[in-house]
Amino acid sequence: MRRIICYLLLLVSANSVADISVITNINNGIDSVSRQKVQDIFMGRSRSFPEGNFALPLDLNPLRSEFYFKLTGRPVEQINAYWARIMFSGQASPPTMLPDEQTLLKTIRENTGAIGYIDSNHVDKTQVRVLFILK
Amino acid sequence: MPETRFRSLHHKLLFSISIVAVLLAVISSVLAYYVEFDRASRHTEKMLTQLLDTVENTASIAVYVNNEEMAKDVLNGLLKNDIIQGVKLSSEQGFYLSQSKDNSQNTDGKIERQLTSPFSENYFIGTLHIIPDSHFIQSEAMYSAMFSVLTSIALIAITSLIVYLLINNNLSKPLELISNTLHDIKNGAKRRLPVFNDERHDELSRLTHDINSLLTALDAKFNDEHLLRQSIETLEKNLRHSYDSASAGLFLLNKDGKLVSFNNTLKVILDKVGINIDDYAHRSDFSNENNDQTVFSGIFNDQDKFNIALIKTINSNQLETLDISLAADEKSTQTWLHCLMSKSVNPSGDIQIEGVVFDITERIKTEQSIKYQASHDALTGLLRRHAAQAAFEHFYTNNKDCKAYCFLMDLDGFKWANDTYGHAVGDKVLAITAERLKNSVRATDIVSRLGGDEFLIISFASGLDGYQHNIAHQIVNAIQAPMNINEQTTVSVGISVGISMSHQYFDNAFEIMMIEADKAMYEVKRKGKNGYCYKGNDEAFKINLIRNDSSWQWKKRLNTAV
Repeated sequence: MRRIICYLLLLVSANSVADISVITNINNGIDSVSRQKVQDIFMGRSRSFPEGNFALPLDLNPLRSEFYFKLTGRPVEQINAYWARIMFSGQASPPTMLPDEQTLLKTIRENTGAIGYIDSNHVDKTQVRVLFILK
Repeated sequence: MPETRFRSLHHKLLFSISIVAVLLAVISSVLAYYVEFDRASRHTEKMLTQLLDTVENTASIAVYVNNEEMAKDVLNGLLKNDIIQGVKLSSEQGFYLSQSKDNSQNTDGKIERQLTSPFSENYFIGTLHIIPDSHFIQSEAMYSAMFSVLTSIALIAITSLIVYLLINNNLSKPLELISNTLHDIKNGAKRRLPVFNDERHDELSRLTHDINSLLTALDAKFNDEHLLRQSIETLEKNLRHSYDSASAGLFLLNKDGKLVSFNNTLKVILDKVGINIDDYAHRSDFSNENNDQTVFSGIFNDQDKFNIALIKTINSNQLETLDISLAADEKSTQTWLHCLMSKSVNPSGDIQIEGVVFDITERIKTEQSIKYQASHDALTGLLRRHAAQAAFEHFYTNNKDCKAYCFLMDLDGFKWANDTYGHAVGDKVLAITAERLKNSVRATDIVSRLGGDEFLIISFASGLDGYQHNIAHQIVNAIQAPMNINEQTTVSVGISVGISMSHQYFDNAFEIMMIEADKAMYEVKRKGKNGYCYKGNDEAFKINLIRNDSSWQWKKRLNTAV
């Protein structure tokens, strides 16, 4: 049942937004990461890219629910609860939340290790590097 | 019956119920223990799994983000459970946490849970181990098992007690009461079983009622029996009395002629002649009936006579009668019995002889004396003529080849003595003559008084010729001896003896011999009296007169008469 609901939600979101691209600084030496790696970085398990560079995950407020749902298959409320549990221990914190694409893009341009996500339609490959596309 | 100890019903009941209860308790305890222990063990395992389920999510997150603080929280939380002895958490990225309540490295019953990423079920990130506290679990299981055991024991004990009390109260106690009371009731006593107060209307009350009815019936029967026995005893006593006091002696013989029973009269009759009938009675101290019991005929003089009559009785169906004398030492005390015998068959099919005896001694005695008086001369006690003839005939027909001598005698001078001294003296003379004649011959010879002063002697002998001469001489000498009648009177008489003889028996021998003897005596008288005469072989009379006594009275009288 839960699985069916998930698919339904997926269909709805797919209608509103096409794909979401995970992007990083254009100067970041890395070309692509696995879906698992993206998950590890955004869910607090990993703090670095495969090569070892420090990774700074960034959340984009308007696209957050869709992103996490596509990435983990869970609604954003569960993700929030997850973070709330981890934060209680005081050792880790969720990705920095940014209000819009402009701020996100600006932050990515300024930080080599920054990693974020935007609507694939808004991606400018000259300014950011696409690491992974969430279908 | 071997002496066995009495065991009360309710003790047996108590014993049986206790045995069953203990057995049940043991079986149910063992079963309960194993079942309960197993259940408790599985329950613990389930609880552990549930605990794992509870903390799995948090543990996964902690491992996923490598958050040790969070992982420790999880482990500490787990350790707070009594059933957990230790926990271990290992991550693929290398972090490893281990906590336990004590430092023992016991890892028995370890439960392990593979941890996956909270977001991907296929992504293995670490392992969570739980080590259960086996002591605690065991003691828990034990406690639970023991509780069941105790519960079941208590239940069984209570049930048994209730069952015992119910059975005891409703069954064994009343039964014991019935049994003990019945046991104590004496035969014929008026006591009865107690009637249960409450309205039971069950088998026990029916049993009591029935037993009481039976006892009453038994009592009535017992009384009836008692009365009947009393009347039978009285009847028997009366019968016995009439049997014993019957005027006739009664006896019962078996077919072997042995005494079976007798009455008192017979005993009295036999006692009189010194026969103890108990010597002939069946002796009970011998088991065998036909041992050495003396035959009944032994009490009689003439046993053959009795035995013949006995056999005749057995072989015929007729009443046999006989007169028979009892065996006794002296002839004068002889007892005569008139005996009637008849055959009978007793209920068991044996032939028996019933006998009735009457004491006829008096009658026989009277008969004998009448017979004696008829055949004997009252004055001298000698045989009368007909008796002498009968005795002669009797003997001679039985001994036909015998010689018989006949001495016919007549006193000489008796008439004179009779006239001179009187009849009394004459009678005395006759009596003395008889006595002297008897003494002159053998006791078996026939001595008879024919009448008046005439006498007869018959003597049987196979002696030589001359025997008659000697006898006659002896007779004459004996008679002519003076007879002392009394102090004043002495009488002398003579005797003339005529002798005849027969060589063997022939018809009318007595008459012929008497005639012959008379002729010879006549010759003596004719020739001078006081002598004897017999016919010799030459048919001539041989006379021998004896004249040697000078004081002979009749000779003197003869002289004076001349």
